[in-house]
Amino acid sequence: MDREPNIPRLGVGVGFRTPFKSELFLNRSEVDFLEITVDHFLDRGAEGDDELRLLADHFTLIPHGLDLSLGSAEGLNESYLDRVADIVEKVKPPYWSEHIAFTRADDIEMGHLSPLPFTHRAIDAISENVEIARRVIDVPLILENITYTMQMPGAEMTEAEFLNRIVDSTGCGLLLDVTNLYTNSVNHGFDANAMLSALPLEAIVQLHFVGGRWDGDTLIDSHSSATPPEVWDLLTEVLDRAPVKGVILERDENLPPFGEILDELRRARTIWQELES
Amino acid sequence: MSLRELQSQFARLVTDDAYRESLRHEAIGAENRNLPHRLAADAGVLAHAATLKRKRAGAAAVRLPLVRHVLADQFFEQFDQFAGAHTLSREQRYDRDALTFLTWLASRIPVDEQLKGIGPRLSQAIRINRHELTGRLRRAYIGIARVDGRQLPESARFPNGMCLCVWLRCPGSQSLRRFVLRMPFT
Ligand SMILES: [Fe+2]
Repeated sequence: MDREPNIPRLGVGVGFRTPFKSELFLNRSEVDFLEITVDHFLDRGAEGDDELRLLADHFTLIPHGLDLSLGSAEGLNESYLDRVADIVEKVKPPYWSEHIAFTRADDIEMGHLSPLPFTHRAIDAISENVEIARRVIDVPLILENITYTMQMPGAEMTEAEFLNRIVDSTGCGLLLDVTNLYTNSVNHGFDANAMLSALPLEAIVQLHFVGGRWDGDTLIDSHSSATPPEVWDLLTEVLDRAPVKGVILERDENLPPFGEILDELRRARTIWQELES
Repeated sequence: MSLRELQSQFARLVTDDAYRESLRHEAIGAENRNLPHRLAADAGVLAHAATLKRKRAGAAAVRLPLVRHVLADQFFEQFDQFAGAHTLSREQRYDRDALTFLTWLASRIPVDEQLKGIGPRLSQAIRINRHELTGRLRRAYIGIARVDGRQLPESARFPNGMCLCVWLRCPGSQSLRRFVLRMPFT
């Protein structure tokens, strides 16, 4: 079943990063769509507006936010929300995305996605905030699972149950980051495939994938290396079982020659096509 | 503890080293440890705090190439100390963070034995990187462009559908504002 039939199939793309802008245009036919990090364009000025326009003229753009702090019990920062709305309005995407996390509490900006406790109150908080965001941004919102170094105390359910309830309560689709799922399974010792089977597969709209790095026996989601075999396996499994519309390679650090990025996009596209044929 | 209190405690614990350490010490040997004490002693909280600092340090290193060069490996050690006592600002966060780090670092030169030896070179690097960064931040005028209805729907209300758009940075809040002006000519 497909819970988001109105969202078109986008294909396989990459998270836009300025250093490989020229290569993107040189290899236009190999990149089906782009994800843009909203926060990189918030203080954009005239040059940033030009860049957005240029990208939007050639690619479908999906705005991806980092700092809305949808899980904050204190509510949303409205001026930030307005600025996100301005970008969504500009690029007219089929949907936009944010994280199941909080980044701000009291006046402290953590500047990083922090985990929510798997509780009913946290589900209420994120549902209330999604409702506020919807009043300002009239485009479907999908929510991404994050990695965590620790589980917040007071859990009343498993992570899979938490994600299921959030999808039900907010009516949002899911951006499943398969690398985050794999990373958490390694660091917290659970079976990634079992977790996948417990997720609301019919709500998955988009995927993220990339490789991280090891720090001792902890896997860090640094978005800094080639996608490992375990993540390719998970990606294949999800593509086989969920009504995915788009797949994004989310490389941030240690950017390789663009040819390596293209190789990964081709590989994901081939997997997807083979599953469908 | 309410969700709001939990988030507030967590945010403070992962951004304020002194606060976290004081709770951790209080917790040692205590019989009834409350939630903030337990969180302060949690290895995952420490790891999260380290991740936050690593991200800020990476952003500062890009903005302060000379200081990074002069400090070499000490850059991340020094930034770690700084970040544990200073939180990010809301607007222009990584630029402001890098500037606050420079001020803090300059104040450390006379008192930090490791910095004393490279004091003159470091002071010069601080001055140069600060000059570059403040120049960028103080720039009130960001840009001007001729736009039409396709780029800016508001411009459709003007007679020929063309207008000028000016971006300015507000001196107090540092937030970005956009002003749409009617074109004085066609
Ligand atoms: Fe992701």
